[in-house]
Formats: sequence, structure tokens, C-alpha cells
Amino acid sequence: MTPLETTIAPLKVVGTRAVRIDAVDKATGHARFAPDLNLEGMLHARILRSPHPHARVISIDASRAWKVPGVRVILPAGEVPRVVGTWFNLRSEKEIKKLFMQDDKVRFVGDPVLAVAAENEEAAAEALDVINVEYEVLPHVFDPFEALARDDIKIHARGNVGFHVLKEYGDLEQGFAQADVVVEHRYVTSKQKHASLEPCATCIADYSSGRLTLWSASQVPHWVLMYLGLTHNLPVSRIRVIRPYVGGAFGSRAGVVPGSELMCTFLARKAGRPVRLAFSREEDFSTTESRHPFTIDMRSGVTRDGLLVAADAHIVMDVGGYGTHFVSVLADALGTGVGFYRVPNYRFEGTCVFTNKVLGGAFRGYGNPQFNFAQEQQIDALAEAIGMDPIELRIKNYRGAGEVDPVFGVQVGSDGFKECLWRGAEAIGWKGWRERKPAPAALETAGNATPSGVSGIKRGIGLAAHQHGTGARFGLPDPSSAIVMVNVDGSIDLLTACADDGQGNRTVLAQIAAEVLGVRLEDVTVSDTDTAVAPLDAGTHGSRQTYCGGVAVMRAAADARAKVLDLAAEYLGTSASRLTITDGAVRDAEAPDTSVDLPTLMRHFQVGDFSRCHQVIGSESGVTEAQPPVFGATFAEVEVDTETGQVKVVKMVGAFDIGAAINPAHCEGQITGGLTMGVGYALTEGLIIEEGRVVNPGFRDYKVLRADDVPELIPVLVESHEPTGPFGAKGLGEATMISSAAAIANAVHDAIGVRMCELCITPERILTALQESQQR
Amino acid sequence: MTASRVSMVVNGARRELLVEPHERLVDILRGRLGLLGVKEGCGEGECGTCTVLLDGKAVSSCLMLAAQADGCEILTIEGLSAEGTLHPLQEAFIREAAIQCGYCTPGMILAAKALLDRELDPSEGAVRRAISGNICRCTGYDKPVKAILAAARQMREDAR
Amino acid sequence: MTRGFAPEEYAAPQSVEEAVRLLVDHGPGAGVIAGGTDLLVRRPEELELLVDVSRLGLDGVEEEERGGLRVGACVTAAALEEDVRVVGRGCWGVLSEAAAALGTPTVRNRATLGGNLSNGSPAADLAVAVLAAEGKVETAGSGIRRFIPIEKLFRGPGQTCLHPDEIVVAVHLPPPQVGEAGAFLKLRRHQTAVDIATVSTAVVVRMEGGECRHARIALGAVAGTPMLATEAASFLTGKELTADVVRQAGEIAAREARPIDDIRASASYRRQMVAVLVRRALETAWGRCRA
Repeated sequence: MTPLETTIAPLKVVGTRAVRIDAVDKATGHARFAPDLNLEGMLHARILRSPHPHARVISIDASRAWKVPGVRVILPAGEVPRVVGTWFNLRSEKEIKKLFMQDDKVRFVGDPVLAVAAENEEAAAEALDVINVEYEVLPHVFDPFEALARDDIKIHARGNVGFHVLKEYGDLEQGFAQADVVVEHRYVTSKQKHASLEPCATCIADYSSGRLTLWSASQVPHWVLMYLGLTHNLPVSRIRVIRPYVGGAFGSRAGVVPGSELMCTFLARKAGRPVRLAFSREEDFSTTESRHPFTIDMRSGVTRDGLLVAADAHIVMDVGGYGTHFVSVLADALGTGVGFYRVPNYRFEGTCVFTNKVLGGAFRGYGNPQFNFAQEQQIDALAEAIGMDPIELRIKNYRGAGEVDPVFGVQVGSDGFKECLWRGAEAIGWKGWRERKPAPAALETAGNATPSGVSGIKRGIGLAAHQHGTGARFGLPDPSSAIVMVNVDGSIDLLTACADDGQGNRTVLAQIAAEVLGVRLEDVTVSDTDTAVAPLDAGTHGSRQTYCGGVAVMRAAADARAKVLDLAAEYLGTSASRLTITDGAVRDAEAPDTSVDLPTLMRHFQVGDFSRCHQVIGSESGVTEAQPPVFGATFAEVEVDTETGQVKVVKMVGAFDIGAAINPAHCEGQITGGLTMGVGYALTEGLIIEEGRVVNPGFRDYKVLRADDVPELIPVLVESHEPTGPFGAKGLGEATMISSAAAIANAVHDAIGVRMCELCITPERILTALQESQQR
Repeated sequence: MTASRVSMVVNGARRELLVEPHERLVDILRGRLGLLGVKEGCGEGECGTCTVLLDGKAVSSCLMLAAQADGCEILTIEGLSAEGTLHPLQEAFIREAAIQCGYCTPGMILAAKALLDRELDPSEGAVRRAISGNICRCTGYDKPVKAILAAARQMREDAR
Repeated sequence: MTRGFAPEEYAAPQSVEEAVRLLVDHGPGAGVIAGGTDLLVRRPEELELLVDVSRLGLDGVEEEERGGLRVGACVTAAALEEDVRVVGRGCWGVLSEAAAALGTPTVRNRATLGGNLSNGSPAADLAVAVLAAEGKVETAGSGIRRFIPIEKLFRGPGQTCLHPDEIVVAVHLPPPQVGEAGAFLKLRRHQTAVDIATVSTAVVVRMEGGECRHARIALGAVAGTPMLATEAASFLTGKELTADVVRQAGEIAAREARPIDDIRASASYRRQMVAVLVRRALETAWGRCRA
């Protein structure tokens, strides 16, 4: 792409703290989310769910349910396809076969067995109560290691291994032979839930006159469109996916929600009336996707002068009953983990294992937070062992600008990693703390001392870093498209199917369009996210909207701009190359008096000159040139109460190389939100599953942080200017939480001298670790 | 089933309704009065998205029977800018980029209003405590807290 | 078959007598609602009649002639938290500290003292405080009015000695004494300010000179009911409080506790934490006595 942005200066809209375009709607309560929609004649559906972790449905007796007044449709789940893949599988006939499955088994407690649609929710609920399902209960397995060992239990026909990868780089044995220090730990991560404030999920489907319409909060409306086309055997032109406002997603809607959209559309087709299917908060927490737990055995070696020479990582990933995003989640752990540091001898082995638990899926960070928790604690331990500042060790070994990662062959373009580390360190007071803090030996003693009262509180500071790709240019179909229409009065319509879960990407894309077209932000109207209106877009995942969507909007706007300039050149009798657009008017740079404002120009060519009468439309559809890594460094300051094991995170600094901030206020909001979610991941957030049942399916016992729980949060924006990005921007959303847990674990280690290798880091685990270290 | 007659003032207008014993305040506000700015996020008083002001106090409308609101005055987010002008809290939330997905916003603004109606110069700690019943998954609370403090400043100036 | 929460009738009586009569007349299937913050979470299926006790005028706090305090059953946690007559006043102070630790602000605005006691939760914050403050629970039933010492109220998780047609009317607290102070401490899962107690304790001590004349130590979430650590309390009585004595009292209390494993913590962690919390609470209360 011609660096158009270099010709636009000074920037007037991009880089400003523009107010988000939906802020007033949301502040006044007028924003309509899926649970707020109501269609005339709408039926209400409920799902009957399996009480067994593993069973075959032998028969369903719904005779009494049909007698419940108001019951209209009863649909066994076995008649509806499940999605067990991602849009990766859309690429060929062969792959499409792997995308769906349909059978009469249930594989976790809460797995849908059947759906009822009735005139009201009470009738649907009553019907569920009187349906008898006969199950053949099958032996189950909850632990992934046990699942690997048990040949007698086959969760899927192919067995319990969903995917296995072994990648070897260099010579591992030789690498460890070069190492002066080797550390080895087993890390275990938790099953974090997205816990968006709008429960996941509510959708409404309507099938009439041969057309299917779905209102869904999906982050990827166009992929849902294609899933519906394939499963309903309808042309996608007869299907419309509309996305209302969405109350947070974080990956929970990166596809269709299990038991939601497909079930609802099949119900609507059977009913011939609109159907609404809404999950309760409990259903959200206990039956929809969550972050995959990883068990990671990791051995890492370093030389005395700080060269990482070898790493050996073995991952067992607990997929749950079904895999949707799982191969790609493991691939992302591989790419971001192995890709980050220049470790010449690296072995990475990963196994995705099915278990009879609620399934995992996409979640902010996508495999990276899990592996990062291990790798970044390893780095910290190695730095300590050789007496090197962990910042220095990281700078010495990371892959920077111009280098190519060995996994996907991605070359690093923009690189602000060192600035992330330096500015983050400054903000947390790294240097001063390291100079003041007692030597490690003294710390051990401090940990051993009998604590009394508040004197038992120990303070520590820790750091963890990461890189995370923007978009999925090299791993998935990853299109973005945009149409820019210049209207008769000079106002702009921007058609995009970007899915805004609250990040503000509709606003950011409008800022980009406004800047390129030389108009004010308020002159741009962004379309609804509606597949009948807006062109193909891969939606929101992989921190891609500002970058991928931004590139598409930039190109479409540039296309429109060039056309506007051509018309203006004709109108003004000059050459387009002399013209520019600022403040809503086309001007001759060298002759300030020669200008025409957009309304005049557009009126002339749209409705004034009858021989012309056409609209300026700019468009773009395609992919980005790159998949640029976002670098980041997270710093945590903690206080550990050695009597209760309670950790209090008092300060978090998140420094992220975002390329460029199109809207700094939005970037800060992403960072403070991501860090908060990261503190939760480290300390409090994890589904607890007993005998296959989620026993904390709500905010009472699944603790997300509240306003008086959060530490001081300091966002640091590093702008390295990505050459392939719109105005230099790359991604951010996921990066903000990836290295939080490792940073906190490293800070805890700094405080009390013990390494916390298991998430969540609970008070009991801290006390146990302290007691074990005292016994040593 | 015996319905109860309930008379309440909602966003300044008197409403007379027949409500059933199991109906919660949130059901009536959303389902019957169409006040969809009142959200429901958990149904057990933990998330705060259904927060409304009941005689000036922030309550979870999912943890109250509609019948119990008889004789009460209720304010929802729709009533905060009823005359077309935004409340200083709404303006501050907009200006300070304190809104992301927006699902917690109505409840949080109302919880903040209950605080500012009692204390126009709250500490940051008091603000955080006042909105501790309102979970936000997007912002990390940083900008909402700043917005509430900014609104308080504005309201103090306006009061002068 | 589950019928869900489906009461058929709601009544808002204007007097205690009327409320009791409604409960008596309806018999089983009648239940009481006040703030609703517990009932509407549990959503009991068996309820047919809901008797709303929030309009009986039970929301007053009065200082009694003999110096005691009568707190109406429908006084909310928010009101207790801020009541200047209660905050920091000898044994009463633990009530406002416990009230401040209860739930979220929206819950505190509705949750009542009577409800917190009647639900019989072993972790109920106000119950633990009333236990330490040696409160008496005034109830009204069919033809009876009882004053139940708080330690007799609880029978087991979710169970009290209240009859189905008996309602809590008020809680009576004894007059604060010279040299008396209390402290309430609540351990939550870390980094969370809003949580059900993992372990809680309320202590009240009365000091004369350097000597402890009287002590009461209540514990929450470490047994089937809120409980008193009587041995730890009698260990303190007559002793000069030193760091060591206070530590020992904590350890005795830990031995008295009968915790279980649950989603929030293991029994052994809870027991360890009783020792820590009781010691810290005693240190705080002791400091307040001296102040």
C-alpha cells in the first residue's frame, strides 16, 4: 500500500481521544442488546441438558411435554449439527466435513439434549420438566492424563486425542549441554471464563419467505452466515446475520455458541415463527466455552552470560467434550511461545485431549496466556539463577525487528519491545526496588521467619513479557472489507461488518475513514454489523479489527478519495495530483483560492449534471500484508500476607507496543480492562468442576474483580509505527492480559521466594508452598 | 394466583399495575414498562446490571418483588436524561471514555448517582466502594471512577 | 417435577400481629420476605404465600432506658453500617463493622438484620457480630413473644429454632461497658472485597487495667452454625493480654472450630485462619480498649 498516511498531515481525527460513536446510546440506556429484542409472535426456547458427563441418548419421550399448553416445537439435539471446528475448515469440501458433527451422544454435564420452543418461557420450562430421556450412561473421564491412558473410554470415535504436535528446532541435547543453568517446573493453568456482563448467549432466529434471519452476538457474523448456509442448505444470499449491541465477548462468541445459534435457527425453521433462545448466567458459565487448562512441563537452559540455549516444553491441553478452537489455540501457544525468544534448540510437544467436561474455546490471548505463564516464569527463574536482571535477559534473547520466527516464518516489522520494558520498569520503580531489596538469601530467611501481625506482609515486584500476533493472516482466512460511500451532502457512509464488542472498533474505523477523506468524525456514519448490508469480514478475534479492519477502511477510503479528487480536478479545471481534501473541502495545495466543498461537488455529480449522476463509492476487500506481533511487558507489585496466604496486587503496569494509537483513550481502556482480567486469571478466576459439574456457575463463587478490588493500573502506550498498519497501528486487545499471571507469579516469588506454578494462585496454595519451602 | 395492585412513581410518572407474587421488579420494569436500559446479568444480585434507584437508594431490581415497590419512587437510566439533557454523570462517562460494551453502564451510573446525591465530594475509595456492586468486565474501572470523580467536580461547580 | 419459584400470594401486613396471623392461618407453605436478597437468590419452590414484613415498622434503632440497644429486625445493613449510635460503641461496634462487610452496596441497602439471622447461614456476617455482642433475639409468634439468646438461635446450616409462624422482631444488645471494645474481621478469597466469608470472627473484650475481664469470641463459616469459641474466651478472662496470650487464644479458638471443606476453602485452611484472625481481631479490639 502506498503510504497514504504520510501525505495526510497534520492528523486531525486519528490519534485523538474522540468520543465513541455509540457512547450516548449506551449512557442513556437506549442501546439495544440481544436480550432487549422482541419480535412480534416470537416463541421462547429452552434447552434440556444432560445430567451425565458421558452418555448415549437412547430415547426421548416427549408425549407429556406436547400436552403443556403453548408448546410448539420439540427438537432433539441429535437432529442439529454441532460446530466442531473453526472457519479454517471452510476452506475446502474436505475440511467442511470436519466442521460439523451430529450424533446421539452427550459428552459433558450440560450438553444439549433437546430444545423446546413455546409461547412463553414458563411453558418451555414446564415442558422440559416432563420430558423423559433414556440414557445409556457411558464411563467418563475428567482428567486429561487419565483420558490419555484409558483406551476403554472413547469420547470421540477417533479416541481422546484431538490433536498432537511435535516441533523440534536445533539439537536439544546439545543445547542443554551448553547450558550453565537448567530449571524445570510443571505449570498448571485454570479454566477461566469470559464472564461478559451480557450473559452468553441470547439469539433470535426467524425463517420466513425462504429467508433466514439471525440476530446474534457472534464476533464473526460472516462465518456464522457460512455455517448457516451449509447446515440449512440455503444460499448465503438468503441468510442475514444481524449483530445488535454486544455486552462483551472476549472470545466467547468467536463462532457459534454451543447449543445457541444453530439450535435456534433450526427451531425457527420448524416453527415458522421467530424463536428466541436465551441462556441463563448459570448456563453461560457451565455450558459454553472457556479457556483451556494447560499442564506444561518445561525445562529451560541458559548460559552464565545470559544466552537462552535450550527449551523443552510438553503440553497437555484439556479440550473438554468437544473441540472448536483447540488446534489453533495450541498452534498459537506454539507460535507466540517459540517465536518470542531466540532459543536455537527448542522442542515443543503438545497434545489436545478430550475429557468429559464443558468444552474450552477461544478466549482473549488464545493459548498464549497459558504458555506464557510457564515460559515467563522460567525466564524469571533463569535470570535469578545467573544473577542477571530479567529485563536484560529478555532484551538479550528476544526476536526483534527483521528477525523471522521459525514456526510460521513471520518477520518482525515494527518492534517497540525494549521501550515497553524500559517505560514499564520506570513506571513500576523497577530499578529502585532492585537496588533496595534484600538479597535472595535474606528473602528466604524472611519467608522462614515466624510472622506476626501485619509484619508478616512481604512485598515483591515482578515482570513478564510477551508477543502476540495481530490478526491471522498466515493461519486462517482473514478478510476484511469496507465500502465507503460519499453522499450528496458530503456525509460519508462506511459499511463494515466489523464486530464491536465494546472495544470501540466502529469508532476507530470511522476515525480512519474521516481522516483519509478529510472530513470530521461526525460526518461518518458506520453501518450496523449486518451481513445484508456490509461486506465480508472475518470479524473480531485475534486483536485484528483496528489493524485488519483499519487497513480495509483505509484502502476503501483512499479509493473514494482518489475518485473525489478526480471529480474535483474536473470541476475545478486542474490536476488531481495538486489536490487534497481538508475540512470537508477539496483544495489546490498551490492555489488556496481554488477549492470546492464536498457538498457542492457531490451535488454536482450526483444530481446536478444529468449526464453524470453517480455516487463516489470506494471499496476494498482482502487481507493485510502482515500479521505483526504486538510486544508487551507487564509489571506487578504485590503484597503477600504470609499468615493467610493472601496476595494483594497493589499495582500493575502494562506497556504495550501497539504500533500507533488511533484512539489513545480506547487503548488505555483496553489495557486497564485487560490487566484487571489478568489479575483475575492469576488469583481468583477459574471454573471449579466437581464430578463433571461446574460448582461455581455465577459471580457469587466465580470471582471477577470489582472496583474496590483492582490495583492501581498504569497503561503505557508504546508506538513503534507498524509499516503495514493503518496510520502505523497494530493490535492490542488480547495483549493486555497475556503476561499478567506470570508477572504476578514472578512478583510473588520476589516477595516470598517460592514459585507458584499453579493457577489460580490461591491463599491455600501460597501457604502450602511457604510451608514446603520452610521444610526444605 | 392473586395479583397485587402496585402504585409506584417510575421516572417521575405514576404507574398503577397489577403484579403477580413471583414477579420481580426487573421483570416489570423491562417486560411491562419497556425500560430496557435496566439490564439483567445474573439474577442473583451479584453483577449490578439491574441496579435502579428505589427512593434514592441503589438496589438490585432482580432481588426485589415488584409488589414490594408499592408506594415507592423508582429511577432508571431512562429517567436520568428524561428532559433531553444528559446528567453530568452521563456526560462524564461519555467524555472520559468510561463506556466500553455498555452493559454495566446504566447500573453503574445509577449507583454513582446514589452516592453523589449524598456526598458531592467523595474520595476515590468511596467511589470505588459505591460501585463495587457493579461488575464491569471491560474497563478495569479506571475510567468509570475518573468519570464519577469528574462528574462530582462538575456538579459541585454547578451547585455554586 | 420442579415447579420453580411460584408463590401464589403476596401479602404486605401492616402489623406484627397481622403478619403472624397470616403465617398461622396459611400454615406450611407460608414464608417471610423482607429485603429479599437471600430469598430471591434461593427461590424456594415450596412457598405459596409470601408475607412481606418490611412494612411493620421494624426498621428503627432505639437506645433503651437501661442503656441497651434495640435494633429492629428490618434495619438494613446499610443503616447499621452508618448508624452513629452504633459505630465504635463498645460491643455494638462489631455490628456496624460486620454490616459494612456484608455483600455489595445494593444488597446492603436491602438486606436486613432479621433476615441475616433467620436464614441461619453459618457465614452470616451480622449473626457473628450479634453473637459476639451477646444479643438477644426478640420474636413474635402465635400467641408468644420470645427473647432468644443468640447462641440458642442456630441449629445447623440454614436452620434456626424459629417456628414456621414466628418472625424476628428485633435484636437487643446489652449496654456497652467501660473499657469494652470489639472488632470484626472477615477473610475473603484474595483480591476480593465482596465475598461470603471464608472465615470470620467478631470479638468483644472488656479490659480493666491490663487485664481482660470479659471476652466473647464468635466465629463464622467454620461450623454448621455461627459459633462461640468459649474456651478461648475463658482462657483470656482474668489474664493480662500479651502478644503470647492473644496468640494462644487464637490457637484455642482454632481447636474449637469445626470447619468443613467447601468451594471457598479447605477445612484445614479454615482452622489455621481461625488462629490468625482471632489473634488479629483481639489485637485490634485490645488496641481500641486502650485508645
